[in-house]
Amino acid sequence: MIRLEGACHCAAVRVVFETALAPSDIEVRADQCGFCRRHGAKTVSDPAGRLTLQFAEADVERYRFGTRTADFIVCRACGAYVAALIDGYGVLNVVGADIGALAGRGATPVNYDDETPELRLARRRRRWTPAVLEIAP
Amino acid sequence: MSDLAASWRAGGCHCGAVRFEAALPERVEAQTCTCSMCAMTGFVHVIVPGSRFRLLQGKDHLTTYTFNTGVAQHLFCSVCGVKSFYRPRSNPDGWSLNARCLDAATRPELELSEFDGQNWEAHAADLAHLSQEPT
Repeated sequence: MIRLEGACHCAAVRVVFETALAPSDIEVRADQCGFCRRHGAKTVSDPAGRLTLQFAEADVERYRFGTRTADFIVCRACGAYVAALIDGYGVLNVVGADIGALAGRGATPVNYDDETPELRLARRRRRWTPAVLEIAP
Repeated sequence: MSDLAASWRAGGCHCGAVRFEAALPERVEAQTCTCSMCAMTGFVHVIVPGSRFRLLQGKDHLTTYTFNTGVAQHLFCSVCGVKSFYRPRSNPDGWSLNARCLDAATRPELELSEFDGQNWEAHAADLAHLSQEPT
């Protein structure tokens, strides 16, 4: 397992991404939706890995849009989009969380516009990383 | 910039709370930047003089973030976190718009270059002319 640590710019939201994949084998994706494009997001996940998020609930905005099937975790102090969460799983924005080993990588454009909410959730459960939340009130 | 070629082009954040417009020609200079802040927002800079920018809505939704010297006013939407524009330290008399936030239908062609934000002090003066008011 390798352990990649990061945080938003002001460090109110911290992340740890643990994966058995070599950094060069991790797929970096650039979702083409309006939210991800505006944030310049590049996302990674590993169904066999672990994503730990550490923050105080009062320090984040949980933004929902579109199918409203995930919480997009945005830092209230610095505005960074760090990760998105569904029950038990998450996807990490390596740009907003400043994961140096991955943020500079070229990203594969992906587009999920045609998915139904059911298919979207199924894909996320299949492809996203099991998430551990360490949330202070 | 040729005044004849400029037209008002709108943009905004993702949730729609913040909307702005800027007078831009068909083709504009745009910069990516390697500083810690820009690298973490993927910001693509289009710097304009103050008179060429108007906030249309969302003043109450803007949160200000500052760090280091505190001169740059990093503004983002308090709902969706998107940084549509801000007051840059390099051009405190103007505004820097995020090209990612310009409406696709009217977005100008971008002439992209990379700004060496890791060595900000050595290069910031190269950007000063971009916010000068047309005479």
